[in-house]
Amino acid sequence: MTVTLRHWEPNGFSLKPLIVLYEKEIAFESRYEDWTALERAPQFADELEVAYNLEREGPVLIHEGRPITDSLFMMQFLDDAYPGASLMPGCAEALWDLLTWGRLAGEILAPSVASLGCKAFLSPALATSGKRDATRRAIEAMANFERRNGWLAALDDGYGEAECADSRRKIRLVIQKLEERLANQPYLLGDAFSLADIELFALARSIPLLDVFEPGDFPRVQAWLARIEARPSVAKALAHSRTGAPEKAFTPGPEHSRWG
Amino acid sequence: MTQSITLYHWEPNANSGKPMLTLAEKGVAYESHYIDLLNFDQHRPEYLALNPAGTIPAMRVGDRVFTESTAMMEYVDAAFDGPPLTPADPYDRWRMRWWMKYFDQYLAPSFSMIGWSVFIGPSVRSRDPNELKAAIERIPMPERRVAWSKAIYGTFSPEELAESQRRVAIGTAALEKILSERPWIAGDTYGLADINCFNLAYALPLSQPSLASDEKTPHIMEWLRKIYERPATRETWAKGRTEMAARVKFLERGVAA
Repeated sequence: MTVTLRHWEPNGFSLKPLIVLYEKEIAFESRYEDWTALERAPQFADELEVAYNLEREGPVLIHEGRPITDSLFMMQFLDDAYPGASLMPGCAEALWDLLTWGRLAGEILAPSVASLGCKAFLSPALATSGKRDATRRAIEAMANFERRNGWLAALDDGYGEAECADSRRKIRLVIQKLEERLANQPYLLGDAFSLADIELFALARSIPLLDVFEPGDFPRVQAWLARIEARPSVAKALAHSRTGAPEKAFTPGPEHSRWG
Repeated sequence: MTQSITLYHWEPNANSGKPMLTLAEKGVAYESHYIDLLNFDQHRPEYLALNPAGTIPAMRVGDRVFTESTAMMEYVDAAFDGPPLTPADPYDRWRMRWWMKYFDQYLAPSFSMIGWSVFIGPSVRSRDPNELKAAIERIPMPERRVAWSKAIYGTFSPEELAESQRRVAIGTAALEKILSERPWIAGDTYGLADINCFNLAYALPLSQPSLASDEKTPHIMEWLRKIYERPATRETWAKGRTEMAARVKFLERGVAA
């Protein structure tokens, strides 16, 4: 089996499958794309699972010529389809737990981290790039309405105070849940490192830059982040960075929920 | 497994119907505990003690409580004997999960907004204003408080309703496309993605006749009728107490929508 991963800087959604590929020692071809230059390969653009991917910008795994999107389900696919140490406990409760954490990560944490991260890093970079007009034309040519809206917000710093305050609230809510979960166990699903840790770590790694909490807050979460950061697979994944600061790499994320 | 199973659910519809139909397909017996959404049972202390988020459904298995209907379906399929509802092939399994997320996060919120504005809101609006105000204040999650408030007072904006309608049209076209390529959503076998989407879309030809009909979406119509014909579907929809669930009978072959 040959597998190719189209990804950007190892942060957020791109970081997740990279860690899994190294944890399971799966040989793969890395295809790095600069998502802020809006240089995404048109390959598979007509496939619904690519065109309608709710991550907006996310990695694409190419497995036997077929595209696989959505970084959580991509991780589950890699864990299911490839040999190597499993990154999930075998029981049904753990599957439920992973999917429940995944929903918090994907619907609550990811949009909030993306709003604050884009405001802090992407919007200023686009403003000073000297290519604003070309960028605007590229955005306006995007077929997907939600993706176009996400990029226009980034280009025009469309992140109002209400959205930022709500994003900080949602991030603290998820971090508080992590802090509670880690009270009696080293990892989210118990004693062993799992896909659930990768799911949350990849999104949480940038949070210390986003001015959401004080350095002394959430000590168990900070220790957990450091424990995962020390894994060889994470070091190998982070080595794919070309900017040298993957934790500052943001693109418009999934939408904030339109409905409670 | 010999643990007792209790499901706290509303009508066989949307999120409540997902575990109901999954349990029925698996042949797993459960104690049914009806939570009347229109009577705000889900925000009462007895229920909040079980699920502090105040969302329906919830399932108790032994002394563990499971919430989140889609994750709950995956749990039920993995934990209990009975016919598998998750494809054996990892690629199809990935596709099942991809589409369930698309339904849950893109399509369902749009359906809900329209359904709450035309059905849920008007169903409760005529009650005592003070009682309604108190009911809204008891809702634990701020997002749900906003949604209920808009439904009860009819304050969804024309723009957000139009955006929901646009999304329902996109989702309907996507569903027709995939069902024209394969018999079931994830591949060759009936399973959780079909159960998820049936709960969302079974009344689509009634509520959105300009989008879904025998002429416009023949593959969706055939898929709906095949699911309606399954014994587990009949058994589950027979548990409905309202006219809403009774609508499903239009899927009887030979009955015009």
